[in-house]
Amino acid sequence: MKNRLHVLRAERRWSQGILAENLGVSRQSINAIETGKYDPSLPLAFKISRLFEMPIEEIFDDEFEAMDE
Amino acid sequence: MTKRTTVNSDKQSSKKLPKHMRRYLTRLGLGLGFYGAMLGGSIVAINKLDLTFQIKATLAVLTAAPIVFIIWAISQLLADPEMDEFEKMIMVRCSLYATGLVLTVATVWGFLENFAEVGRFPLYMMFPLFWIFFGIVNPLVRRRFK
Repeated sequence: MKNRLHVLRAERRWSQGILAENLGVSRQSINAIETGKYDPSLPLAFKISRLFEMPIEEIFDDEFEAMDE
Repeated sequence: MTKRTTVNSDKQSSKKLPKHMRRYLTRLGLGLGFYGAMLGGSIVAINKLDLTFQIKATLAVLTAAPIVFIIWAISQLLADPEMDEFEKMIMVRCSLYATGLVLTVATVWGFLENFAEVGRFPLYMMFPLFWIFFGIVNPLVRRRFK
């Protein structure tokens, strides 16, 4: 699943380590999510959403919806 | 947008081993310690003493028991909600590949023993073999997520 995590993190000048620490996950998790190779669980997606104070759908791209448009 | 969320910096982050990993490593250490002691003790007892079948069978089960305990410890680690979900996914995948490879080796070797009369493969080596395969597939699985 595509996402804007890398852009949002860069805007806040957070390193992957800082983001990982605040989400309580490993830096490898952040890297895998940012590259779109790993989709986070729903609880982690909500954590990310709360940390960035944005709705989930503004961070993660629903590709099925994009195809319908 | 106002950033109200307090974000910890890298310097604030704790480098301590997470609780669930400490729990797992303690269990692993205990299991390996008991296994070493049981294996050594059993070998000495079987070689030096004239034991009955019942005692030999009991020693065999007791020697295997710490390995069963280690398998249980691994299952507890994987079921731990504190464990990083990405690392958990990597570990589950590696375990599945390693299990598949061990089953493949066991099946093929089983037929080789029956049909081609090759030497017997000691079944207690299946557990170490699982970890050998786990170690081989681990970097391959991780590479797919880089």
